Amino acid sequence: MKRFLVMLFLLIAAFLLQCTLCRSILAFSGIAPNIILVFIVSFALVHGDMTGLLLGFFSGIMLDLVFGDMIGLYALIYMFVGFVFGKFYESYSPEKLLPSISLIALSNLILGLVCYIFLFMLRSRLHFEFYLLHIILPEVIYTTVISLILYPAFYFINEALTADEQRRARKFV
Amino acid sequence: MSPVVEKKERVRFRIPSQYVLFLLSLLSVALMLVTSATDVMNTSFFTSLESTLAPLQKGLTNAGNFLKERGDALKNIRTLEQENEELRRQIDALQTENIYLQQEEYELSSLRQLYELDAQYQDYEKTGARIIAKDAGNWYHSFLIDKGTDDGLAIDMNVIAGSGLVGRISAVGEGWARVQTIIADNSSVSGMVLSSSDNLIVTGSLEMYQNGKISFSKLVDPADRVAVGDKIVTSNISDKYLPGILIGYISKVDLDANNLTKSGELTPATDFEHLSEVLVITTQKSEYEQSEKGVTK
Repeated sequence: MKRFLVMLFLLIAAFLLQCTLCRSILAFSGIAPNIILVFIVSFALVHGDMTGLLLGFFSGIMLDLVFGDMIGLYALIYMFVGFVFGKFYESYSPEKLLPSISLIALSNLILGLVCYIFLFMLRSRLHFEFYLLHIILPEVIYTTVISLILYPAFYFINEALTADEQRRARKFV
Repeated sequence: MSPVVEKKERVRFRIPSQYVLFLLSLLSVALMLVTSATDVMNTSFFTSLESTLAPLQKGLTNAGNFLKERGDALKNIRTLEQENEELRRQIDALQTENIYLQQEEYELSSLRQLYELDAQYQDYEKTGARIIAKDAGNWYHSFLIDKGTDDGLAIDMNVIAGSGLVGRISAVGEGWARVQTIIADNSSVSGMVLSSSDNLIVTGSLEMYQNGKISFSKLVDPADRVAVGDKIVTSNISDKYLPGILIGYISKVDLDANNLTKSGELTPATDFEHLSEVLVITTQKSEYEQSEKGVTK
């Protein structure tokens, strides 16, 4: 329950920050980092694929509701990203910073490519090189830098929540 | 079982994640089909969800703008001092120029009356609004403003800033509205070259916008009357945009491969990078047409 509320709060906070401060202050020559994605992938890495896919689905739904022309596209994309990166949880120790950051960067690259395919390539905007160099890669680099701060924060939030859950579980047993 | 797996038995979810993924994927696809085929997205249920977030976004954006202004202010003090001196010198020059211009203004207004060509869109009813949030991704350029249905806004109302067209409202709820901008890659506006009244289509382009330009196409101009620097305004035949709103200035014209139409680039009249307030024209095209008919009768 506590985890649910914290996740809900973080989800709304990430969404609000993304479309306000990230786009107005942090945006560097028009490119903003994707902190919603950092949030989803971080928790997928530290808490498993179910968390990843649920967070992905609900943040995607929020994006669709507010900015999309139809509901479901971003939900689907973000959900799959959360699920796939949540699969790393089983065979991976999330306390290492560098591999986690690399995975977040990779997820943003994949997200960029998928967005390009669905939103631009299908409308015959075929100049892929341009979109890669001017939109996708700058976003990846920027997100990676931001995740250096955000990932440890999310990691410790998860640690605190897990410790709290274990304490409660022991109390009830 | 390895000890690693045992450690993770505390995960409480019992439904396998694959099933959840499958079900939610089906749900997403169903929602996509339903919402793209019908108009349910504009029902009060969906718009009210964003209405709860709008005040928060407004607060955050205001706080962000405040910080940004403070930061800029500190940075700018020295340059401002230099600028101030220069500007003082300019004021003297301008004041003398202003006197001449005022005289010409009288002449202009009388000429305008003669031509019955008054600056039309100064007469439209407008309401100011602040930008509270921008599209989360880097792909499109839509944004949210802090006024909605409770201020009388509706879908397809035109949005301007300064003197140029910004876009139109594409979704609206209580306390918020989403504006689709003309520079967004998925937007098209029917425009007209002011000097020759030739129609064309203005399309936003993410690629060209890196250089501050957007594209136009389907310009039929066999007499080569359209030149670089010509004004492009919204056309009469658009069903969503009011006529005569300035879109931008032509910066490049090319003949298409079909030898019939021309396409090229234009520089938008609005500075989209530094947009924080916009004006929404509350007169809609359909109403405007009705009032026009009333006048001509």
